[in-house]
Amino acid sequence: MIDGYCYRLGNSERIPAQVELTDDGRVVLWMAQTHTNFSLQDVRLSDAIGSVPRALHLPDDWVFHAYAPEQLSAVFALAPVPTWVKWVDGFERHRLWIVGAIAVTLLSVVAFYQFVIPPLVVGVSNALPSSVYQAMGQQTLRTLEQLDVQASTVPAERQAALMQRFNAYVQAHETWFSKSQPKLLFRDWKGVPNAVTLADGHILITDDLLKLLDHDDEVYAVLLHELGHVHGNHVMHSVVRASLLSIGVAVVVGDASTLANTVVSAGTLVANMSYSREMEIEADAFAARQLNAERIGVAPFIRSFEKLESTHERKQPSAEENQPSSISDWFASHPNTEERIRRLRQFEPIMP
Amino acid sequence: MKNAFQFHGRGGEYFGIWIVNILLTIVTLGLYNPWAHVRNKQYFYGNTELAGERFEYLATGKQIFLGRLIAGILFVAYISLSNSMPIVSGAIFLFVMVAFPWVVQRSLRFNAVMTRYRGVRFGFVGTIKDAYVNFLGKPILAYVIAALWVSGVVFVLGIMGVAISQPKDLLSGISLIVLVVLILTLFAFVQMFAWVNQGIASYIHNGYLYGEHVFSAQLETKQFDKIYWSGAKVAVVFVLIAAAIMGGLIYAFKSGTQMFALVPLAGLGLYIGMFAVMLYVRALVYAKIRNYTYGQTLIGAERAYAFESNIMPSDYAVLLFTNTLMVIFSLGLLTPFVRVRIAEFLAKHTAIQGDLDALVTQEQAGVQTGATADALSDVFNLDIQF
Repeated sequence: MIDGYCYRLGNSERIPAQVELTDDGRVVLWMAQTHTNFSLQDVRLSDAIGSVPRALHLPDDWVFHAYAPEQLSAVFALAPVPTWVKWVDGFERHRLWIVGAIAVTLLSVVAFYQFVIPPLVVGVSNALPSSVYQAMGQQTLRTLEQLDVQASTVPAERQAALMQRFNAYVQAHETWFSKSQPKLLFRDWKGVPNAVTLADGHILITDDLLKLLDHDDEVYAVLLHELGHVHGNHVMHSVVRASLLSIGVAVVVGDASTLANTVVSAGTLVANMSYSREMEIEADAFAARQLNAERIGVAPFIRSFEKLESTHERKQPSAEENQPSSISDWFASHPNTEERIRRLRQFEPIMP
Repeated sequence: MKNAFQFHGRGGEYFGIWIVNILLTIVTLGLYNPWAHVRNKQYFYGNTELAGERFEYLATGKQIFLGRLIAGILFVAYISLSNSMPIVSGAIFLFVMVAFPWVVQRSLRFNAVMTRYRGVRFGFVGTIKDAYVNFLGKPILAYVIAALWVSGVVFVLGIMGVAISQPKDLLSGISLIVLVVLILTLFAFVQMFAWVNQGIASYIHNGYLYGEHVFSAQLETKQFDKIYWSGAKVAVVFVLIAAAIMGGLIYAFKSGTQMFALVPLAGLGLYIGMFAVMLYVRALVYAKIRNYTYGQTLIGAERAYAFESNIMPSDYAVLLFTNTLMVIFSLGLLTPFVRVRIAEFLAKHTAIQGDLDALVTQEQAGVQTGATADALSDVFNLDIQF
């Protein structure tokens, strides 16, 4: 005999009651002076979850709660329960399963990141029509122009010379740029020496960078690096990847609190940055190959790095930047300059 | 007689449920998500005790599957199109915004009906019309009023400023005007924010039903206003201090002293300070609003049963801060412990006054449900709760 109380579903009145499982498998419910009996097949325990006390659901909307719930669960262990609940509850409280779940979860995250995301990103990017690429490129350009970006003041002759070299290269390798038509744009972005590739293959180079790189071979090297991004479709890949990562995160930790969401999205950002580092290396290699093929060599490219690095150093004296460190490397969107130069030297051909 | 809520969940125990939820969600490529949601809810409801009885969560995974599917498709479409086709994703956003009050009403009702205490399910009787008034109408109106107010202020002060100032000190005249405009703008926005949130809180706190007892709460915009100002004050003081520090640094930088070595340090300090202040303001406003709205809430019209919430803002801020550190430094693995800590804290500071054993009530017939909207509200992370 198990002591407890009953509710008739729909009414909050608590009625003292007892429940008993007889030897011949009948369930007897005692309330006041009367008793009713049911078959074991007609009663069920509420879903097991953690150590939440379980109640006994009886026919006619009666629910019995025991003063000693563990006694109730033990006695009615044979009452029918949905199989999946039994399984899941078993996993949830089994130490080995929990350790396994942690391991599998971490492994799946790594596997997803390593093996699922890259081909998926390429597939989705290729499936997008070129109108999407153009729309995105235009959008970015408009955003940039809303910043402090103005028409270039670089002498027209220099612009024309660079443009001519750039266009000649693109025409000679037309088949490499299938999704986009590379186009060179000159802009004055006050105080920012930079070159930016947009989704539609447009490459924006700033006056400050042109001022810094006074030799056109150096500029050409930088442009080839950016064309490496266009050739590898890197801009679209990053956008698609960021979207896929955030969708994946939302599905798996959909129930997460806002707090955990913040941490997880910071994680996806870091993941994306390490991908972007790979892209930089790929674009460097592309530029190095082209420079060697045109018998210019990687020397101007290395000089452009050194010049950029020197402006960086003048701006903020920081020792950290040059120290080789695997952790800060992984966090950095661009690999550190020494590392990039070291890699470039591997492309150096024996030249007369 | 005071009945405090109690939470019995334990982080270690919940960890198993949480990690198995994640595992099964991964293994089923996301299909387990609704069932994971149900297991979570069952755990937190089942471990919440009031006057000797636990709460129950009644929804099944099957019930919320379809809703989550629709929500998921909308979400995926929104995310993946937001970069490439802003027009389509904008249309989705607009659609969700217009449907939002309907979703909120359905979601509040679904969650209420799926909650049972002492054999009786809760209900929600707030109407869809009122949901549109409070979740869409008032916010839009508030924006319009605030915008008109600000442009009016700019216009009038602009004319005045130009009229009274000599060409020479036009600049100081303009900066004075900008300052006045900023203060009046802040004033307008706090006022509008209070007005909108009073409406939303009233809608929710007057909509619930337990048996035949309707919840009621007399909420005043003035009180919301006061609470938001107390938060705004902290933020403004921080901004002023930060501006003073930045000003000092810029001055030191320009005068060419060795002080510039301090710039990164000060930057980091300000960044951490900003994070801490934001967290504190959030905790302060949340605690005060919760204390006030719960304190006004009665079950039934007569003052037989009254809610009480007594969160100390600083305690809550410390909880949020330590929780953030726990999640960050465990790479998310301590999330289950964090959730249990929050549930424990909120339960401990919530109570109902009155003899609950005497509350005998009958569930009202015709409580309907709609699982789709519930799931929608969840995936777009609208945190609507009582």
